[in-house]
Amino acid sequence: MATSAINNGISGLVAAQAGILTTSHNISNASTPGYSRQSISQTTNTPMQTGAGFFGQGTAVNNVVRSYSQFLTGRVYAAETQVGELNAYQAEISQIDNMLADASAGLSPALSSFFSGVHEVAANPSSIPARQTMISSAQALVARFQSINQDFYQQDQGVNQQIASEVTTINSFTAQIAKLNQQIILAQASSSNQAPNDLLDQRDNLIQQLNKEIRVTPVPQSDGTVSIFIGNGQPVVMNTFSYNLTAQPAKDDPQKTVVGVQTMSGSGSIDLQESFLSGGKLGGLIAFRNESLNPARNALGRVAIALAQNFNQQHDMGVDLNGAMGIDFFKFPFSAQTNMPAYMNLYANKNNAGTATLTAQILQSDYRVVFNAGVYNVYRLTDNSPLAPASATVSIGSFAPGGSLNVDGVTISAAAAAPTAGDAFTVKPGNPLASRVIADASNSAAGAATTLNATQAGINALSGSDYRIDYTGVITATAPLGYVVTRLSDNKILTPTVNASPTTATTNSMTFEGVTLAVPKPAPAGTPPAVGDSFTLQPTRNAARDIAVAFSDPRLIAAAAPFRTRVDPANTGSVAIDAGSMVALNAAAIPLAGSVTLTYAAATNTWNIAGPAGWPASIPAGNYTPGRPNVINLNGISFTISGSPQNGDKLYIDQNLNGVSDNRNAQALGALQTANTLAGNTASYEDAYSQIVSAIGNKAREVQVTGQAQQTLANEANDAVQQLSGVNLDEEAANLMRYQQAYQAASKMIAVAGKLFDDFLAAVA
Amino acid sequence: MRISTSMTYDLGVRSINDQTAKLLHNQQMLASGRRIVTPSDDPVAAARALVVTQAKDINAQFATNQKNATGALSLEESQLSSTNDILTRIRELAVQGGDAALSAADLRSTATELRARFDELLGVANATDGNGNYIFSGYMGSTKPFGGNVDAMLATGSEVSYQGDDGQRRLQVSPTRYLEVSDSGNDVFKLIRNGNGYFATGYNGNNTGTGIIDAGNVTNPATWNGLTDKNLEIRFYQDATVTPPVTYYDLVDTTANVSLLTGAAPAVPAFPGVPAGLRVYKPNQTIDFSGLVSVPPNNVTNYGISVLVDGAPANGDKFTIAPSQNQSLFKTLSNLIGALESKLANPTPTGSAALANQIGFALTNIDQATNNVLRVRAAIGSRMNEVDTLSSSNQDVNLRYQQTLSDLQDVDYAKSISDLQQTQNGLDAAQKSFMKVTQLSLFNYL
Repeated sequence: MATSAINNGISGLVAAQAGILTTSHNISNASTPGYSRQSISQTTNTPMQTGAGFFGQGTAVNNVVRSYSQFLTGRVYAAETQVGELNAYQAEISQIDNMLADASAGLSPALSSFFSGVHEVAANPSSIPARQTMISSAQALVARFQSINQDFYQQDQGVNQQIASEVTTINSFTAQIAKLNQQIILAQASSSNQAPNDLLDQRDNLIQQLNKEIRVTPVPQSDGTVSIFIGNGQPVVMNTFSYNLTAQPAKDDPQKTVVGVQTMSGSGSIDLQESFLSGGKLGGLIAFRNESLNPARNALGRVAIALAQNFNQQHDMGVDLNGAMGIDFFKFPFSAQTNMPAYMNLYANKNNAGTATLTAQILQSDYRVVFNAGVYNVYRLTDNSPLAPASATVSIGSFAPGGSLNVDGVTISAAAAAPTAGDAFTVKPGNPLASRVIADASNSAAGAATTLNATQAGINALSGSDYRIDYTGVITATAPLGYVVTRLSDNKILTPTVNASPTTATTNSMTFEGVTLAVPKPAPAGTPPAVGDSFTLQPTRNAARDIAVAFSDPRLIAAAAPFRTRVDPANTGSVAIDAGSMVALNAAAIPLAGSVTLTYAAATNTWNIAGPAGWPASIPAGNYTPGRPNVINLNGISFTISGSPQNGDKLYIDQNLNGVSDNRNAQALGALQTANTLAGNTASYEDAYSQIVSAIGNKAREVQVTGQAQQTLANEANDAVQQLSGVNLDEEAANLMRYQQAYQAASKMIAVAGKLFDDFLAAVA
Repeated sequence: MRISTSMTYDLGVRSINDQTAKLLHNQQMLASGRRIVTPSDDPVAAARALVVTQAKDINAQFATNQKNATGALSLEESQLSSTNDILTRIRELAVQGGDAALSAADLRSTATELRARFDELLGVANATDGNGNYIFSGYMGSTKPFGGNVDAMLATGSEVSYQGDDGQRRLQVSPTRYLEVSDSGNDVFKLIRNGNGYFATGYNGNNTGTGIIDAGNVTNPATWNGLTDKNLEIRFYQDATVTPPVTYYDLVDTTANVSLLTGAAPAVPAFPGVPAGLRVYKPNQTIDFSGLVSVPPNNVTNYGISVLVDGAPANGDKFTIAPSQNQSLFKTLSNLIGALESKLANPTPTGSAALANQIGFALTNIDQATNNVLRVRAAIGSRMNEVDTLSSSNQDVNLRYQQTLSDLQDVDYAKSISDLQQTQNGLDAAQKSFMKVTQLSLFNYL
């Protein structure tokens, strides 16, 4: 019996020792990250059967268990990966959030001061200092565009670098996890499948860390290893092997660093689809780049392009201090290499089988439609694109009454009833519907009854998105030339308009959302891409980088209008003509080759016109009513005749020679500040910019608020894990005392058993 | 519930962090005075603040333009005020020159002063603004508008030359109003109707009598305006065969060359004898263009005008009536100087009559010019008034924008300071409780 009692005592002693060991391990690791508290699992030994029943055989420690819940840990993973994403997003977006609306660093103050420079010229058109102010404030505006864009660019570069270092971090984590998988297999094999708790904790902790970098899906395997997948099932850890990710320039955009994997053959790599890479810091960086940074940069570029093109168009209609027609005020460098404006990014995918290149441009022009010889001939009035030299005298196409013609994305159509030869219309695709087609007042009655329709295109149609163009070679409703155009901001497939193009050309042209794309014609006329080839188009990405002021000579600011009106002093009636304005630049008629004389013929109640070539013989009856204001539009000049003329009264439209104090064009330039010229004529430049600010601000706020909420969730999840797995030192202190006392009792037990044995020996001796 | 030791620490640090972040944000708001430190604080308000700021800037631009407009208008107004003064003086001199008792020396000095006034007037018309731009040259600010001198104008009978244009400079003083801040020299000094505005009476240089014609009246403007031929003549014939001699006059449409009294081609009547149809002249009597013979092309019996001739016209004397034309202020003045100087060369009763007629014309035309200048001044005055009104409404608008901006952006100090105090207390509590809780440990008693 005494032997049994000693055995029982020893088993208790050993168990208490194990308890103290585990408790001390807990105490030491109280603040080890990822540590799960351990405890011993103690049971009674198999009892000894006797005739008198079962006698206990003492205790035994079966194994050391960790307090761990896979469910709770899973919650932590999910919450932490979100927190990681939102924190990374917030860290990035707060930088532009602060910069955009800064009272001094944003675009708004520069835009404001530029237009106040324009108004300054309007107030003092002949003053060189005022003109210099306008040039200087324009240069400041351009510099501001560039500096904001530079900030965006640097942030883009920063994101690229961070993605590269993220990839390194992820690779290091996956390597460690693979190594731990190996150790865990070995440990389990050598310990008859006892769980190596500390190794498991370490691995769980590493997975949690990895989750903060990128959302992963851990899948426990039967052999005790954990396989890890990212994205849509891309394995990074399988069994005891890890697969490295790579950071590389994207196939469809060399400026963008993306995450890729080596192909199995090891010869190349493929880009992982970004929409599947979510969660964690890497997910945050990618989301920030796609949702906030690039759209903001595109939108800024859109403002720059719209400002430049609208301003140029108006400036070209004016006359400078030297008496010459205005030249472009802003300019964008042209790249001879790509045959496009330098700001336009059009990348052929590196995987393309074909070598075809496409070219794109953003056109903002007015058109003149003149009916002659049974067809409407369409002329492009202004052409700032070096792709096609300015030519107002060469028709770019024609269509019959009842038909239509697509030019630069604008569809011009007419009813079946034909007007009279010589009737003309000005089409301004940038205008709202009501003022998009302006019929010449000099048109015949049939012409006045003719309605022309035009769809809207140009700057106001620009969306600020990027596009992907895939060549399928199959002509469908949405791919009229065999090219599928996808808007990347919402992955919508667009339906481009096919433009009229000369039969001799090797390219076709199509327009979508203000962008005109030249694509090779099918063989043999052109060399189309291979089927499946794809291209990425970023029409506005770099425009804010490239915008520049075209000249520095203040005399070249075109503040005056190219004409002036005059009433003949010898008139006997009380007729008046207003100062007039330019509505479109018709290069065939402006600058005026000489004075235009309007003479009133009372008998026909009309004004006969004598002037240089290109002016009609008269304003036909019906378009003029004496005694009330009549707005007349001729050759892009709009003026109002009012009052009651007498027969033979004359009005003149003269060249504006030496009109240095004329500010009509400067006023028109100033009016652009509040004109709604963007987003389908709904937004001014300031509106468009404040949309960027608001979008970024909203996103930043969303990220911040969601981040806080997510942090709370993560805290709760962590707390739940801590409640289960965390070490409580008080508890350990109690355990320490418990096991100490158990140890002391077991020792006493052995001592008692020994004493019993001694007593027995003494009795028998 | 089980609490792990590290939770105690984590929770404590977490709440201290939260409170510190709140405190910092509060402090930023108070220090900057802005409710929106970054757009993310209130994206809608931040975007709206940008738009309102632009509207405020544009409004400020209008305020500047209004000041510019007021400056330009007052400058023009002061020039026109000088013009008025000069015109008044010229009128005095003209009246003085008409004094028959004036000696040759006085007449000469009057003419001399008028020449000086002509140059002064030319100076005003060619005045420049602070930037060296000519005020009255329309768009052609760097072109001197008026050229010419009395001698050249008298020698050739030409008009003053105007090199400017008819452009009116405008400034945008409100979102919709482009205010005219200049008037062309043409409009102010040149495009002035001569005579009474409908027709101008004229004096034939070959007249030998002492007849003096006035500026005439329009009794029926509609009739007069509807006429095709408006160049008329009053021709005087004297029957010297009777005693005292009787003076007759004929009214002639010179374009159609037909007598309006006889309906036939005008002919010199044969005396003695009473010429059929012609009317008998009495001095200082209204000559009415009514009760006429209807002849083509006018085909009316009443021309709707009347003139008054005084004095004693000689046989063959003629007075003309022509539709009003534009005559510059300078032309009127040079005509007056010419008349005074002719009188010096021809000190006879005929010369006096010529001078009296010319002074009459000059006075009429000076009045027309004065009216024209007053018209322009009235327009300037109403524009300046408009600027004043716009300027006060501009200030109201500015105040409103400022209010809106303040509502959008500015911090509510009372609330922020109380928030700051509250957060401070919270932080204090978090720190103190952290210290208390972390000091508790069973190991203290082991």
